[in-house]
Amino acid sequence: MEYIIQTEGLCKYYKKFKALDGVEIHVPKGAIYGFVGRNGAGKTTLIRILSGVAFPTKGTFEIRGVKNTDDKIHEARSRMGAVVETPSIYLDMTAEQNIKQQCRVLGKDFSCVNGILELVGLAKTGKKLAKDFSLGMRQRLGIAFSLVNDPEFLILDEPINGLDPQGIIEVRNLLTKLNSERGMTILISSHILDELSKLATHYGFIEKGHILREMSAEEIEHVCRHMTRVTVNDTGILSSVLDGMNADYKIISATEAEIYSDIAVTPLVLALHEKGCEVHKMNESHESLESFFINMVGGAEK
Amino acid sequence: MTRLLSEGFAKTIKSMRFWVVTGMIAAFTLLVVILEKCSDVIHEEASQMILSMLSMQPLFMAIVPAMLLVRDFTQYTVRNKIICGHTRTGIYLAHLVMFDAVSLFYHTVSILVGGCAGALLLGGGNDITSKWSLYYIGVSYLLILAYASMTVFICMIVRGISGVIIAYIFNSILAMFGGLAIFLIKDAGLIRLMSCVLLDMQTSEVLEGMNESKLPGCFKMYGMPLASLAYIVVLPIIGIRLFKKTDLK
Repeated sequence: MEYIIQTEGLCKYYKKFKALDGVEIHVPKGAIYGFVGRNGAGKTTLIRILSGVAFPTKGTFEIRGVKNTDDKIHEARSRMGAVVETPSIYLDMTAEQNIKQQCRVLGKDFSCVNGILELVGLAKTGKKLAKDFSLGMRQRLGIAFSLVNDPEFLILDEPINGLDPQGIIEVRNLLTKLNSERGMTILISSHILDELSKLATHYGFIEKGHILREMSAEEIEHVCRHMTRVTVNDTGILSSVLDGMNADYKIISATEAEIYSDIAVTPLVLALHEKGCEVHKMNESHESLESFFINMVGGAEK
Repeated sequence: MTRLLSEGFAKTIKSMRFWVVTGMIAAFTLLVVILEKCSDVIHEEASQMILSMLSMQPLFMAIVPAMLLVRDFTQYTVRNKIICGHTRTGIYLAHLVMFDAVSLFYHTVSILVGGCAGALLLGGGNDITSKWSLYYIGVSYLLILAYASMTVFICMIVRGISGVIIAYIFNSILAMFGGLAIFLIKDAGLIRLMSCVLLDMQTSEVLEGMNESKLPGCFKMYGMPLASLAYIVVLPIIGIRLFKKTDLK
């Protein structure tokens, strides 16, 4: 598999505090890599190091196959876009002037300006200065900044923080579009795991400066399995019926059980009724990315 | 680096503050000449008016180019430059060149206004091309570049509004300690050295020399430009080395 970003034993120490300790992540080309962790877990520190804003204490990383110790790292970064923490924009300029400034930084002509503003939905902001923009508009302008150099990959640190539902949907649609239409690789950190689960194709879970696990969305889907929760008056009867159906299940209490295999509901209910077992409740549920993460972090804490 | 310069100059030229301060410099210089003309005491000549704004230049530097520089850090726009592959050396030098250009522009405006208005209202325009006058004008340009070098150095290390304030008062603090050292040690050689090395004191030397209409002694004649050159060359080298190792927000 081709990786756009790889890190090897990456460490960042602030005096005795280990913000990152031997971090290894692998971001495949074309992926939307969800970077998940609690506040202070080390997400932003890693993003700042990858962006070149901060330096690692130990360890190395590669961007498009170029090591950070190589002089060509600046060249490798020329096809990268990033929004680190707050959007870096000129507050006393309009959206158009902001993008033109970034064009100058990149030595590009202004032909792309309107297209980018259109793409992020800021084409009609006219003479409104960036300091008068809403948080969502600033966030989108920050993303627009990172798109000026037509990047191969994008690093976004909490891009939907503080956005209203409409703003979240807009950013999600934008990122999906960039990934599917332009084949852009995106590394995105977020606390809003439900939202992240709608986007990401790969995940990296970080806690206290360590990567706990890297997984693909398929693997997560497999682990966060579907289940049917049944409430009955006698789980002994339920157990014997499920055994007869070769189902994968777990008795939780005297009246509750979780069934993990796909079962046909009608035969199950009929079989239970025949044996005099009453079904009080039955509902299907799915372990969320959030509960998966909480379980994982809980496990790490133990 | 040319791309960074293009971005920096575009930002400066579009900044209202840049043009307001340009107007202020021209107006203040003109005001000084007019007040001189109206005063009852012995009139100074045009040559004495040329550098009338020299001691004010650090303030103008703090108001415009220093504020523009630190805004790159306070608004985090410096990140955009690093992320898309610009080197820290390039970023530092681009800031320095832009700072130098704005400072030299302001100094030139004050010299032109002071010289022209002085020649018209006070007379004595011929002195402007005299050897001592040209020497002090040349030294004043180096002095401006030295001030710029010092201010950029401090602003790139402190990276905030406090950096601008520190840069503005730093030279006065140095001059204060220099004055104290001179008072305590009372050594003629040390006084000569201090008046070359400390920028605030060098400014006073230049203004005094301009008023006296004569070239300084051999030590100061070479000492002052050499001290300024040392600031211009050494501070960016140290500044770049420090900036290359610094984690930014």
